[in-house]
Amino acid sequence: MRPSLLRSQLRLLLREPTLRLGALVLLLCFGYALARGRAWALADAEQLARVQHDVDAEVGKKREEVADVEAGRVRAEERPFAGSPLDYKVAAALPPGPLAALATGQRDLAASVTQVTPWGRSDALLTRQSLADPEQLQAGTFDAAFVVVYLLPLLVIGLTFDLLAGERERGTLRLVLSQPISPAGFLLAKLAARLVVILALLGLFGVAAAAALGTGVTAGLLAWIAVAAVYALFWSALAFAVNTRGRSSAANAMTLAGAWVSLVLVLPAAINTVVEQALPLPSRMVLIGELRAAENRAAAWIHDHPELTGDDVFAWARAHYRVQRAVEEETAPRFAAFAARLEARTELVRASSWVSPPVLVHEALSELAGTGPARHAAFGAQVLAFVDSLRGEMAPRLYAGRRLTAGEYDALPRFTFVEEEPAQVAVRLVPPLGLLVVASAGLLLWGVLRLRRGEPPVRGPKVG
Amino acid sequence: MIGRIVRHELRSARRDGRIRTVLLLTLALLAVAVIAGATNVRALQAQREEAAALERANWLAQGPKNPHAAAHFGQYAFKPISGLALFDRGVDRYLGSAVWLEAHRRNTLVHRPADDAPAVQRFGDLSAANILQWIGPLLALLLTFAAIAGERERGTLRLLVSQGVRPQALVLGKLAAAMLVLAPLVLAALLAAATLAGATELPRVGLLALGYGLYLGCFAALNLAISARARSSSAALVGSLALWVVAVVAVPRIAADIAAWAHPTPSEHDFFAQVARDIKLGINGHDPRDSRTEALKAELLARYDVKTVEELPVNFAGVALQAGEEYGDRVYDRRYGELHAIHRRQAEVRLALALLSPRLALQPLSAALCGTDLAAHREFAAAAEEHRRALVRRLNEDVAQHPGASPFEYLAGPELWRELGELRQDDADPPPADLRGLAILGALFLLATSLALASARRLHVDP
Repeated sequence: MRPSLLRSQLRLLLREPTLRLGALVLLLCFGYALARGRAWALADAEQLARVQHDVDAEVGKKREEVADVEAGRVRAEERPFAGSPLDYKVAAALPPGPLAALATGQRDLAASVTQVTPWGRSDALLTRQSLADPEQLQAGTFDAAFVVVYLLPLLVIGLTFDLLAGERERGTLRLVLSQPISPAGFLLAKLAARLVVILALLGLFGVAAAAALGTGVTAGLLAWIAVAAVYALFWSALAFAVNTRGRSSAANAMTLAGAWVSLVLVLPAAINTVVEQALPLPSRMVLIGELRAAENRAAAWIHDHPELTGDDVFAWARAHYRVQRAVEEETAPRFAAFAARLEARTELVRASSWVSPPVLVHEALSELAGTGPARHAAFGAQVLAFVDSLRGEMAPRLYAGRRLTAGEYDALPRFTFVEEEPAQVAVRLVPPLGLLVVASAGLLLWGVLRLRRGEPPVRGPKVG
Repeated sequence: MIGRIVRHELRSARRDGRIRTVLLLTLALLAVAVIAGATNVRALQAQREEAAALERANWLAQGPKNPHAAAHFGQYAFKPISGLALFDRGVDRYLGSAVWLEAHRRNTLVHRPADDAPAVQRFGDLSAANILQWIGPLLALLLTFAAIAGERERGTLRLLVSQGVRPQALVLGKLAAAMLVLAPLVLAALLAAATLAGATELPRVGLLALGYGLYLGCFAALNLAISARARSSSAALVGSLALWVVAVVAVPRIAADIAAWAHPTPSEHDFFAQVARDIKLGINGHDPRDSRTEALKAELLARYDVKTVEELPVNFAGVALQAGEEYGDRVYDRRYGELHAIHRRQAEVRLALALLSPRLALQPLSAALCGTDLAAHREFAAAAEEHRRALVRRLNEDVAQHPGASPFEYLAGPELWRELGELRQDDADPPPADLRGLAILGALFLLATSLALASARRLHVDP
């Protein structure tokens, strides 16, 4: 393929009204998604700050109560529970990543903030009493990841379905091929011109995102755009291969639309069904029943062991705390089985994403935006570890009836989310994305070989 | 004349191998979806039975304790799943399945199936409803995109018109034929689903068939309008595909987004913090809990004409608990009422945008008829709340009827636990379905058909 050929094709392409319309629609969609994503991420960050503030205020008030007693401003009998080790509370938050505006991912669904106290049970910490509109959750947000995964391939298809057939149907192909150009070279040049335009549009979006989100051009943003580019490459290569079959442009459009429906709509839904049927989860409802049965047993046990609870003001808190720990201990195997099943499901989906580019790209775009399932799972695990360490600190105080002093409040642990190493994310994402690149190259090669082998596809079937 | 056109179209559709293949593939997908849906729904129903039995046993197995402690233990209620959920899960996956009915708090249902599903679920699930909503219009497209433009290219259109076939009759005939080809698909899926669900509500299945028929009819008619105006059949194809992308994929998403933008839902933190403030400081902000309790005490002392709480013939703690409960109920009614109003306004925005996409009218209709929409969920949540209030009231009354030296020393036993039943919702009638979507679909279908007829009136017979 000669550079001059690419240049001339690019010139021709830029004059096409289809391209202008398609590019405009794509940019409008990107613009809307970016504006919405930005507003949404800001609201999300404000929400986390508000929870943090409310929890800090609550703990601050408890600290004041202790300080009042310590300073003798209030008699200790008036505040019997002041400094109770179980009343300490921490807001554990998963901060939105810098690119959260680009992909909603699991963020509208999974818990991204929770109030951690030594009270209660661990399983309740990540159970949301969500009020979100279920229709919105089901429809999904119109984010930039949606524009890439669903709409970008449609632009690619719209620009490429008649690469060869269009020229043939207009009668210009014979003219082109009478010049010293191979059909493969000609087709590749046309495809390359379209890819260049699409990459330019993605680049434009990247610049707009860098400016709108105030992040500047970061490695994360570049990786995000690169994933989108690989996806566009895959669809271009598929369109190229379809074009080399020498069918009419209507047939090509139909084939590519069918491929889009199969890959973007049906296959992911089928993966869902397979996961659900092959790896059914233990019932959450039954688990609730088991938890409560364990609670009844533990309550009866603690009732028979008053020596474990003492008879001071913390007696009730001790009994409650011991009951909850006993319940957790008894049901731990059930939760472990549940977690193992969830893990197996994640593995199955990950394996299936090797054959489903939209699933792979959607997950990659979410992970890079910090809203993916892996980051939320890590948050959940860190919250559970944190509450364990908090209990480790508070339980001895509770058992000994030792109250928190005002000074101690300032040194109590706080939660900070520890991000996964970027290298770990890369290890997960690069191999399947690499395969996608290889598959795209394979499709292109297949098409080129086909064109070389066959006679120049000047004739082909009639339209209609 | 239309009858002959329809017969001719049906014959050529039968001979078209491409259409046959796609129809068979869709039918196979529908079969898989219905069977998978049925196993899912059966499993969920069995799990719910098991959980409910376990929960009842847990409630009865409580040892002797103060009734208020029992109110804190509370009961769990598990949402039933409708049989037709195997056809359309609606928004059920994004709504909780269990609710804790306890003292002082009106909880929201927790454990949405979506919480435990992998991220790929956001692409949608393979339900029969989704397949008909996604692929049904594509089948309509396959049947209609070349209907007029193709005849024109082959020159048969001029022939037909010169033989006296009216273009409007041609369009209507082709529309009827397309709908007749698609009808068995819809009916097969619905009847299979209804049979597996053991649904006795045939009217609902009929309305579903009507809704899906109108939905597919909209697309067929619009595609015919495009086909009548397009330069070539491939231009008609591109136009119809663009219509499909906009109406089936893009608009439903953007509509949900716009609805959430116009009427934002409060976060659970803000919502429950507001409720806590209302209860603590009074709904108007000037009626704090402590002064409410003092007023209640004064009123009781005056009513029984005694000086101290200990002299009262009732246990003041029980009376105060119930008064607090009722105040909380008022707060919850108000705040949940506001939340539900927000959800209602969001639904209205989406329904208004249904003019741009029949799918926005069909989705809520289908879910409502299958009992998997927000209204069905609300119905259960409301029944659960009613049950909670009755449960807590009875327990508070029992506390109030047992005055003693200290307010909570009285212990109740199994007789009281047995007296208090569980929430039974299985034989309740399903709530009347919201049929606005059906009206909109009807209007859209008429609009699309008149568009197609208008295009036929100004038909160019030559390419």
